[in-house]
Amino acid sequence: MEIRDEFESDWIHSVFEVLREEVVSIAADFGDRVKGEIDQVAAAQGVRPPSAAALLTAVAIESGNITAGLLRRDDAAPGADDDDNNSETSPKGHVDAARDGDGDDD
Amino acid sequence: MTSVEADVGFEEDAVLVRLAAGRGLKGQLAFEKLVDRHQVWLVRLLMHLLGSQSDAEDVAQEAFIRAFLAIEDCGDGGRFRGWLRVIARRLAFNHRRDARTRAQYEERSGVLAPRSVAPISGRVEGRDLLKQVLGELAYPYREIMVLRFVEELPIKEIAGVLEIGESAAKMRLSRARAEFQRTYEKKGGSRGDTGRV
Repeated sequence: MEIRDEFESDWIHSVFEVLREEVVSIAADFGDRVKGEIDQVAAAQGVRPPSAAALLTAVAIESGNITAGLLRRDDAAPGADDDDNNSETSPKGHVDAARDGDGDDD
Repeated sequence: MTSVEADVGFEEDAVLVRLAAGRGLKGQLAFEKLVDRHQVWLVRLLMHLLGSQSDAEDVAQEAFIRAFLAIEDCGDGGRFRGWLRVIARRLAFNHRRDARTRAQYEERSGVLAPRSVAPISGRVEGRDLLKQVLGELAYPYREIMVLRFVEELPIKEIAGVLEIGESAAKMRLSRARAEFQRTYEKKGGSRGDTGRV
């Protein structure tokens, strides 16, 4: 029996047009969920070094910290007194010293 | 964007598959690009096969993970979509079988009352009618109708996805068409319809 490969003149093909053109909305976080699962599987299966993603994340965070540290250092110049986070819990200057030197070695 | 992400930014499937098969972080990022590129059509295909978005997303996620783990088997990366379709089709088949087995068990053990079909009030038209008819077809028929008329695959490729011979695929499609037509017309659809309301 012959099945035409041409869709033209095939009424069923016309009927299905509405499904072909249907816009499917998938969950907004679907892609992220899949990538998260893949990340876990990759680490568990050893198909990539388990620390690789963490390394990238750490680099990004560290870059942010360095930038924030530089900005903070400008703010903490002599005379500046708006160091909200640390002024109540530690003597001024102590945190900056730790960040610049000792903090990296912990 | 990291330099690794930039490397896999705008490549063809074949290149991404090759990168993914190389593994490592670069391979993982390449595969994630494939996820971005193929997630919508895959979920749509599975929705038509399974009739539920949440089931479709669950199976699509599983299909991507299986594909990631077996990416070396993809061969010609340019055919990634077809290869992923075969994986997804197998998983959808199993998912549906497992769900049916579970439902039968629950019905038998009295966990759930047997499902009753709610009477349909009023005339169903267009897309809803089409989905209803598809949902009532035997699963192998629904499957081949979706592959043929939604995915618009040629017979040879359908045979490949279903893992049957071409003549068997032609036979199944012919029977599926006849069953579809019978059900569609019985429910008030006609050949002049385009599925639009």
